Amino acid sequence: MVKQSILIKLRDARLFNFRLTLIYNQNPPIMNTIKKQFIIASLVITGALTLGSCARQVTRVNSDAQIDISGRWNDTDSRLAAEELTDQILTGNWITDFMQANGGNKPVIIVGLVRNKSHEHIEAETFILDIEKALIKRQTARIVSGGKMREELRAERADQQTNSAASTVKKFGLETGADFMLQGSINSIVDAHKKQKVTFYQIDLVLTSLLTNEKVWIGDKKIKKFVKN
Amino acid sequence: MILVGFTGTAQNATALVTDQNPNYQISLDKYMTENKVSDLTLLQGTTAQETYTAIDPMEEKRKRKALRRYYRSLRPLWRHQERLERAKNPYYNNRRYRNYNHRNYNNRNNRWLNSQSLLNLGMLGYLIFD
Repeated sequence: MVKQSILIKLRDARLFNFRLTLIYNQNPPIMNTIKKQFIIASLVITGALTLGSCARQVTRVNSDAQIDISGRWNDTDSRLAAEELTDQILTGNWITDFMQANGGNKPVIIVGLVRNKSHEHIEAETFILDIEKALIKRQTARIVSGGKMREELRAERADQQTNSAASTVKKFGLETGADFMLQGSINSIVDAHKKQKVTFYQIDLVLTSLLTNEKVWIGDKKIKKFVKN
Repeated sequence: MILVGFTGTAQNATALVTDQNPNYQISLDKYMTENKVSDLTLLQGTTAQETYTAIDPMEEKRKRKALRRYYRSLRPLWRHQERLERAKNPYYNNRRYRNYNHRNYNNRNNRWLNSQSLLNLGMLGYLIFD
């Protein structure tokens, strides 16, 4: 069966070739122009395909530009969360309350752990650092370093004890103790059916007094997205 | 003994501030353990990823597709490994490359003509009683 089909194909090809030769013999100039046009067209198509396949376009856009591609958590969500939470923390009464109770001293904050309990990988550092920056910029609160960064600082201080000039050595035991700890959580709810999806994110930040465990401020940002595939 | 006890109580009393719980030392000792403190404080400023998998049919479909594509890309490697194994052992029996045209009637693994099959028994009966 296979052999037979190959033979038929060969026969057809031979017939097609024979017909072409016949036309060519009858009208050589027409066939030449057709041939030329065919070559040009094939070259154009090949060139377009080659260029199209490797044409990656990269453009610089404004960091505030809203670009949604997959519908997942992105830089716009992080920025919106940072803006809203910064606004809430700066306008909260906890700052004035603390300053009144402590002779005008600014509160000292340390950032604790943020738990991402959503369905996506979200790094809270992107908006937490924005909040820290705003607090320092407005001079409303003081921020102390914690976690691995603090360990690194202590290691450097320890190194100074043996390697730095005596007049420049920084002493141990003079760190500023924090008054409050900023902790948080990220939660999400997903409702998907066929090609439609609604995703709801809730970011909660809590500022707790380290002395009394009293929650002095709670801020939240809610983001709802509708994705249609 | 009484004197020592009294001195201890006096020290505690001096260390306490207004309204401080006199048993605070128990809690302090519990949390001052080196490992516990470092384990908790090292995570400060970080995000603990306690994510869950949401019910999303489209996402599941996309993941299945990606997995299928990944396995497809591995298939040539598996075939290559299979060929290498076959080359190492000439008696390596592979179903894909088994020659079905060649009928080995003495083969014990023959599907139709083994000692356990009813067909075999029937044929034997036919040969004997016919």
